[in-house]
Amino acid sequence: MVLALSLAVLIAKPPVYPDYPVRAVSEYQVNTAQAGLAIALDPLEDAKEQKTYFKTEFRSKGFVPVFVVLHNQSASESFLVRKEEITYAAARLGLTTPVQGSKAGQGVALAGALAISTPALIIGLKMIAKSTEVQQNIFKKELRTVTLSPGAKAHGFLFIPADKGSSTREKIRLRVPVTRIGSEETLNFDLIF
Amino acid sequence: MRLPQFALVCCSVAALAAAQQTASESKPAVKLPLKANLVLTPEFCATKLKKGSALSGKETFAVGEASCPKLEEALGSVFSSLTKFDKVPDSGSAPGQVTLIPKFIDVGATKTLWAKSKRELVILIEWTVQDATGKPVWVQTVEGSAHNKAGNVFSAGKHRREIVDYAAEDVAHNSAQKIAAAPELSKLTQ
Repeated sequence: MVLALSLAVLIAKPPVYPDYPVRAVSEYQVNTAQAGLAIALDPLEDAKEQKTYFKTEFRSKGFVPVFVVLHNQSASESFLVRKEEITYAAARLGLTTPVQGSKAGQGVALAGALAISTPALIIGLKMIAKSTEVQQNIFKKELRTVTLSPGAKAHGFLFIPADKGSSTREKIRLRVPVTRIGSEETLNFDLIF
Repeated sequence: MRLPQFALVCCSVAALAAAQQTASESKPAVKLPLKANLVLTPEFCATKLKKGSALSGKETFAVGEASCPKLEEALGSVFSSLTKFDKVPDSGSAPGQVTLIPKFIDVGATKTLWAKSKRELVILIEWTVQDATGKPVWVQTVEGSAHNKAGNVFSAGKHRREIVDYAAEDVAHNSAQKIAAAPELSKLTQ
């Protein structure tokens, strides 16, 4: 009976780091499509939402998390999206590669770790344990290199550097180069948010 | 039926279903009728990835040593034949119709406050599968993860080796599943 009750409580417990909800590409404000591949962006700017899904906020650390949704709507073609080839441009600057999730996570963790005060060592250790969990969640939610087979979908976050702490930011242009498998042709998807 | 009993029944059914699913997913039902070259370079098999900071403590994860034999074994059940190479063969010179090239992308590891608490390790491997002409037909990052006790100052090393082993097993299993299910590879058999 006790075991069953414990299991029931465990089942009812909400996840610590919930998954960010995924919608159809057409439902996002920022979206584009060409050659049968649709891409959408959803910048997660709200600090409250960032806390919900990441248990941290990014703006003061100089990042904007951007949720990317990919959908291959073609019936026969496959597309390759390499994460390391995705670039961004803040305002009129040249395109740069977004920061790797683990690096964004390190920035977040370091900002937390710097707040440690020597007398409270045990609290400090808790902060490190907590910050590695936060980092791990960022790492796991990051967009990854993927081959999109016909009908396939993929999603994940990119962490784009932005002005630290500023309430407003310049528009950012994200370029997602996509390779058509077989033809080696590269299509560039430009999205501004 | 009362709630706790209902929960218990639900858990038993879910556990049984999960066990059946794991059993049926552990090996692909039919091998792909393709000859494959698997590239496991000495550098890849000796890969050690470091995590942590001076503040939290640096750790080294010997992912290459743990992963290489497991990848070879797991992928052997996917293809009609698998030949291991220690460098990328020139296109046309190798026997296989496809060449599989793995690359470690990163690891992610949590830390815990207590020795008995469970920590998590995630290993990411990026696979590039090339056809006989050397063109990439499938590129994908595959994840493997595991949980294990953190251990105390005396046992941390042993537990670290164990968690790397478990995560390597998982990433090998997931790699085999993903590669076996890739329509881009099935297309090559037609």
